[in-house]
Amino acid sequence: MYKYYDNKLKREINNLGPGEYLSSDEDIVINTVLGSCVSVVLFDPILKAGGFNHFMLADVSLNTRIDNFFKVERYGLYAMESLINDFLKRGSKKSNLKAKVFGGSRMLETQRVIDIGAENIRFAEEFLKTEKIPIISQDTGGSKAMKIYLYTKTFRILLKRVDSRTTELYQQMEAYKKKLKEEKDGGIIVLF
Amino acid sequence: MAQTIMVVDDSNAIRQSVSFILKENGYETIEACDGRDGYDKLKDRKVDLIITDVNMPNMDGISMVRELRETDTHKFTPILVLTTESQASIMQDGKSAGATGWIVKPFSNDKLIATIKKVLG
Repeated sequence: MYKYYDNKLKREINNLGPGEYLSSDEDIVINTVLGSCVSVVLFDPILKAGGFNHFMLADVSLNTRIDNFFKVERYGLYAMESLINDFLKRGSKKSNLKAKVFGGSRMLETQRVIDIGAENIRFAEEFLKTEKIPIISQDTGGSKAMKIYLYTKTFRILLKRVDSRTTELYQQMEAYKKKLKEEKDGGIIVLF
Repeated sequence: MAQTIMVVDDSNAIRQSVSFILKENGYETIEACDGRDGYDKLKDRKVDLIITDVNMPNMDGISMVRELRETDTHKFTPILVLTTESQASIMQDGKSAGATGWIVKPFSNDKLIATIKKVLG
């Protein structure tokens, strides 16, 4: 994550990369660029706090029978749980949260193996349904990448379609995939 | 007879995921949706192992561990905390409350099962 000043919007922007998440009850703007990855944007209308994550599934493959994502997909679960915990720690009740879903485009390079964008969308929808968090709106799929901006105090989203074939986007995705592969063995285990 | 593991988590999706992995490996599971629910279901019932999240409504996982350790039933039951939290101070709270171990997500299914086997001896 990094911050920069956006000359058009005339304000500071918090940019999220793949695998990251951020939420705030302060008046900030968070943005990201999504290819086949998905962002679930959450908003608490009581606390006026908003935030989102940026993730892709790592454990699905052509040979995985995906009748229930929660059996096989730990990175999606981790991305969702981390974001929700950020809200809970601030005092949000899960029952107050609303969601918007973005991303999951069908990128050329992934067509050969699996439409990971569609799987990412399906995971986000299934997860939110299971957790009883309503989806207020979504703009998902298609063949173009998108850049989204979230205004955390109002749940307002600015969305811009961008060229999916940018080298930067591919480099970002490849770095993320590599990171997920390296983390395949899981997190820290401590026995006291 | 299969060993029984209690899974305490406020996320339906995560309870489903962990229970599935455990059942696939021959364990029986029971579930609770937060620390209070976990405590109420466990106070008079023996299980072989408890796996709990930390951040939950009504009663958090660390408070549940602390309260369960006060009961005769769960003074010595192994309790693993399975969480996204990795800060040393929270881990220390878990240790002080009486947790047996701490697993930071995202976890590998194989490592989770290996840890459970180790803890259950």
